[in-house]
Amino acid sequence: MRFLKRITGQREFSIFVIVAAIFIIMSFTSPYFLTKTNIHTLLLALSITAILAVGMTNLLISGGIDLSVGSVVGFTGIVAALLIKKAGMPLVLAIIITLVLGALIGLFNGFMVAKVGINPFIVTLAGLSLFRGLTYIVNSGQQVAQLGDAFNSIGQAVFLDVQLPIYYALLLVIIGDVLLRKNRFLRQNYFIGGNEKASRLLGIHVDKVKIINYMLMSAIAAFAGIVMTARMGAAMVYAGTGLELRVITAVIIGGASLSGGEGSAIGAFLGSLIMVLTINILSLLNVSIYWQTFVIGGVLLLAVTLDTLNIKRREKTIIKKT
Amino acid sequence: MSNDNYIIRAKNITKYFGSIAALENVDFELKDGEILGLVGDNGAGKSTLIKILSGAELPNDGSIEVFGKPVSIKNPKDAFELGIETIYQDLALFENLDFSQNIFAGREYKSEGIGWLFGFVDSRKMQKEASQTIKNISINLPLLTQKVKQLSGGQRQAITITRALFWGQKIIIMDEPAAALGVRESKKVLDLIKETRKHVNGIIIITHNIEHIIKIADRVIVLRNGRRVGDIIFKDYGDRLDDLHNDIVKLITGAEIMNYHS
Ligand SMILES: Nc1ncnc2c1ncn2[C@@H]1O[C@H](COP(=O)(O)OP(=O)(O)OP(=O)(O)O)[C@@H](O)[C@H]1O
Ligand SMILES: [Mg+2]
Repeated sequence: MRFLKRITGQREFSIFVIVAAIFIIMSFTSPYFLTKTNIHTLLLALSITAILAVGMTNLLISGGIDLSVGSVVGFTGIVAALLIKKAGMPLVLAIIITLVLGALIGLFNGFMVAKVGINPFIVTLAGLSLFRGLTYIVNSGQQVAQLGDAFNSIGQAVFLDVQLPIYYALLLVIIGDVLLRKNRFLRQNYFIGGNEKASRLLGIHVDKVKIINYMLMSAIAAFAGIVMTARMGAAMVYAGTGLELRVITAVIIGGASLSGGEGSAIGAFLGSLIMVLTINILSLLNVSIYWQTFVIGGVLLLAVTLDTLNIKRREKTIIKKT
Repeated sequence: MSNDNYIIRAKNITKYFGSIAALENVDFELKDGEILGLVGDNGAGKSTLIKILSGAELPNDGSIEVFGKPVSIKNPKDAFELGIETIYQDLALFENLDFSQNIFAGREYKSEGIGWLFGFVDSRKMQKEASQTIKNISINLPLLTQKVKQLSGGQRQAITITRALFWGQKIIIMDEPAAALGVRESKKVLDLIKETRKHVNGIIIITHNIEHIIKIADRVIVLRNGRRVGDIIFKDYGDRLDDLHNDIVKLITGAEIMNYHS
């Protein structure tokens, strides 16, 4: 009984119920919904969002945010493609260089936030434009295709009927969830997001942790860039556009808060699932792609509004109690 | 020198913020076993003085001895290692976390075995020790897993004190421990402070509430405009508590000069 109470009291559980409800309703509404093909499409669409959501949750817990992830996915995706196609680099080397590039982008974002002291919204909003710009610049606005089977298999190979990106996502979510709950270093994010001043008084190296968060985020985005390029078999200049909104929405639905201190990787995964389900349903119901963009904006606004009302309510009860 | 056993002894502490002298040549001492009140009007320099003792501010001049040894307290960790724990006005708790997470924040136990390889913390051990500690101290938290944001002001204050005791700290400094609390809650906190005295060498309390200080302290040091203007030992007054109250107020406001003329 106690166990049941603890489980049902959790945010993750309510999301899980919503997801289950959507599944049941949809299986009656659209005969196509529960087909193997559709589920697979759904999971594949989920994979990139969920991969990024793990890094984004970690950031939001510490009170940060990264609006540049979509552009970093696009930029690192095309850089990986160019390293293989134009520079003729061995696959492993190209991947390593791309991941390091991602980490360096994060180092830049983190430095501007933690050391220079600029608001993370502004730093990464600039990054959104900077890295999308670079995506166009590096190959004069042209896509890079025909990257070879070895590279493409990173995103296209199938294991036990399931495409690899889905495994990456699940693996990252599980690792992320365990580390966020148990790893001493990453747990510090809950302290920093909860009370930054108190964290400093306890001797936590707040700036260092923040910078590493941004580095993790962008390295994860670089990984997502590689996977996305491999899955498409080409690096498109617009790849990843708008992804940041989808990821941030997913993470907030999943229980992370814009005011920091809250969130989990499992929650981020379930939030991503809701985002992807929403889009999937809209396409199954033949809603036009323009409306889909509109709906994502609406869901984000709804999630953030609920989050803000929640923060306000909390503050009120605190004032009452003290 | 004197027979008194000083556990903190600071001399000539001076601190400038720009051209403002927050503290000028202030001497300060805490005796073994003592609950000391630090009082003074707004801006008198109380918080600045205790920040210097806890490593949150650096003095421009002056020297500090702790347990008889000259020390330099450069950051909060130095103070912590000397056995000094400070509870700031805004408590410095993590509202998003629960009791045991707050007790162990930044000082977690590491897992043994394979968990150690991944930098895991030993949550079970921390929860167990936290719940044992809480049994030794008379505060009631309805649920140990409740987040701090759901707790009352008195319960929060109790957590900060428990945290200090848990880590075996010898000197506890509290800036306005009952400032935001109602009558019942402040009484609880005062009782808790009295009980705490049994476990530590000394307690310093800043407050504007003279009645509180008379109830629990042994002595007050009074600051005015960044200078120490006197100290009063309570037992010299016996049960003439009204006189004691008046004399403290006079020192704080500087009104004794006016009395002298009248
Ligand atoms: N960080 C700072 N920068 C500039 N001036 C400061 C700073 N901290 C304190 N002061 C000044 O130093 C003086 C002493 O301040 P302090 O906070 O120590 O007073 P206090 O006795 O704690 O007052 P209160 O009872 O209002 O808390 C004041 O004039 C204050 O304005
Ligand atoms: Mg003060």
